[in-house]
Amino acid sequence: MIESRKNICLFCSLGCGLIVDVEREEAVNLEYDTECPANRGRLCSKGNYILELINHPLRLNVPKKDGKPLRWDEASAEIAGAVHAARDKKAAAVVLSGDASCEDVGLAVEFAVNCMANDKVAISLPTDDDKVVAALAGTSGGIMQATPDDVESSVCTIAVGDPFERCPVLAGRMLAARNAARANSLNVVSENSNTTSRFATTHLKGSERQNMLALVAAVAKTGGGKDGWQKSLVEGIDASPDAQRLAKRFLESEKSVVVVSTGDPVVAQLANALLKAAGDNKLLFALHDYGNARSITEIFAGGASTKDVIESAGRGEIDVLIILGADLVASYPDLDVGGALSKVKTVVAGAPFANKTTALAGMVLPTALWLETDGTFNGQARSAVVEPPGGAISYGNVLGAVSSAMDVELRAPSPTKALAEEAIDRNKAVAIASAAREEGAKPPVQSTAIRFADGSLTDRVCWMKMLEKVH
Amino acid sequence: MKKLFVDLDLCIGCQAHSVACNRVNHNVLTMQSTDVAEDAKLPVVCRHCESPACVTACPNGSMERGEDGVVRRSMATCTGCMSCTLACPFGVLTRGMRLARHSASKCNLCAPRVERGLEPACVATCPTGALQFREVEEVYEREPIVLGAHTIGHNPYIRRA
Repeated sequence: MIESRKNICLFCSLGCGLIVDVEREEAVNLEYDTECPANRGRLCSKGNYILELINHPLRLNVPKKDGKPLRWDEASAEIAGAVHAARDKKAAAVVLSGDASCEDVGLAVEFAVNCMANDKVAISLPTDDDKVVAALAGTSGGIMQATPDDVESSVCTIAVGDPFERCPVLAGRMLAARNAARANSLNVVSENSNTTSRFATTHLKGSERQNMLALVAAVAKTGGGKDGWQKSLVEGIDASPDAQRLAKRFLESEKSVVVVSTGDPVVAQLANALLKAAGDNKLLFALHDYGNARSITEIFAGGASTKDVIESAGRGEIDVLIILGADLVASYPDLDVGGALSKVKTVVAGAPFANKTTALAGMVLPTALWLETDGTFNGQARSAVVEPPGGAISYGNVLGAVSSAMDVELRAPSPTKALAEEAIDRNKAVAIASAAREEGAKPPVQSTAIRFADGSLTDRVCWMKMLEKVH
Repeated sequence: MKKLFVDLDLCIGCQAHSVACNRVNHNVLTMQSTDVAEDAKLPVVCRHCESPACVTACPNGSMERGEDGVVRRSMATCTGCMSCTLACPFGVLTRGMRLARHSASKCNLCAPRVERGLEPACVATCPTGALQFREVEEVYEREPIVLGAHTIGHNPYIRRA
């Protein structure tokens, strides 16, 4: 009896739907979910590897200490002892990867407060997604977020960076928009020529920051904007003729979408400023490498940054470091992660696959993928498609096991309900907005389903290796 | 009959088709990508020719063109001599392709999927819709430019005007 179970791909923030066929609790086939509004069944090469990811023969399935297998209760007792010893010095820290569910992040915060007596919880988003999300959140008041369907019906699309490379499925939507009518255009702002610029109507080549600033200036001067605040801000900035033409087209088009695919928070803020300057009916689509980044950063404020944790480990201030999912060595090549970890007494690394960080860890724990975890991803509650292999458990369960070994009861916060309600509200907002748009009325301010869903750099590296294997 | 076509104006060279093909054919890649230029990786699609050179070249009779027009390879009789790869004028069957049980890998237009009413995996996955599974006559009628349409192999590359 084959059962089809739906889930999403977390390899980028589009959150493409997919179907995993499960037979006797084993994932046997991947199918394309044509009903998912984000991708309508299309998957890029990353998404096609989901099945291999689940059934990979190199998945970790036994906890190990210094290469020797041990039982989960022994492992959690040992970690609990180390965390307890470090508690008074406040010398313990947890780093979670970007594919953690919102519940697991909430649990990690609880764990930090109750078991470690500090707030050293960090989310590893090495491509600066957290900064971009923060930059967009900080200034996004009143800006409408586009859905993938909006991108497809855009008349004038401005792509910042290289969204085609990052998200081929969105590329399909953008190309469909460009090809829908002769007047439609796809305009690219990027440092160099790239995959997206090959398909561009206009390409503003050179510094993304300068080009975006020029666009903001041109839009503000051409007369967009409700309050005119921009005009004083961008005074003295000269826009190139290309930027002026693009700004004019952007303002005059019936529907314009800015697709932001960047790791630079300044560029993200400039994109925001551009939309604010342009006024109504201009939409923003932000694409991140970490799909769950936005959901996580929404519920998780404060704490430490991963760089802080690595640096304080390097100064010898951390005795116990629990790394769940993140491959710090591969993700932060600029930092001396190896040197920092060697100064930590107990390094615990949990991951679905062996990686450069687990190679340096004293204790290695097998953890579940997001496909094997119930939880809130990308603003929606998802249930696991299969059980994790062998002894692998979710990040939250790892922390739960350690806390119960310490006789501390964690009251798991349940963002599922809150987020589910919010998602319902968002859907309502979208429905109201689209109804209003049809009637020609001014749409209400909304924050809608940008689908944020993605894996960690570790998974991407794994995917790229697999791709190399194929070719 | 239905064949695979590539819309050159939609292909971004993401190579998702290769991964999907590899997956549904149990790690036997039947569809490669070519480097036309440094930044263009087009799918190399089997034309399922009307008079296929690979069928003529096969010494064991394991390549055959069925009544439905699909050129298939029989796993049982293929010895992996690679005569078909030398014969294929389009470079679809190549030596570089991985051998499956000592036999050359061959696109069969995802027959098991098509029988279930699904599209071939490469078409279903193609993120931009560049790969299309369409009736040949319909394509020749409706598409403004089909590159090499009247060659023996029915070139699958189509362009907008």
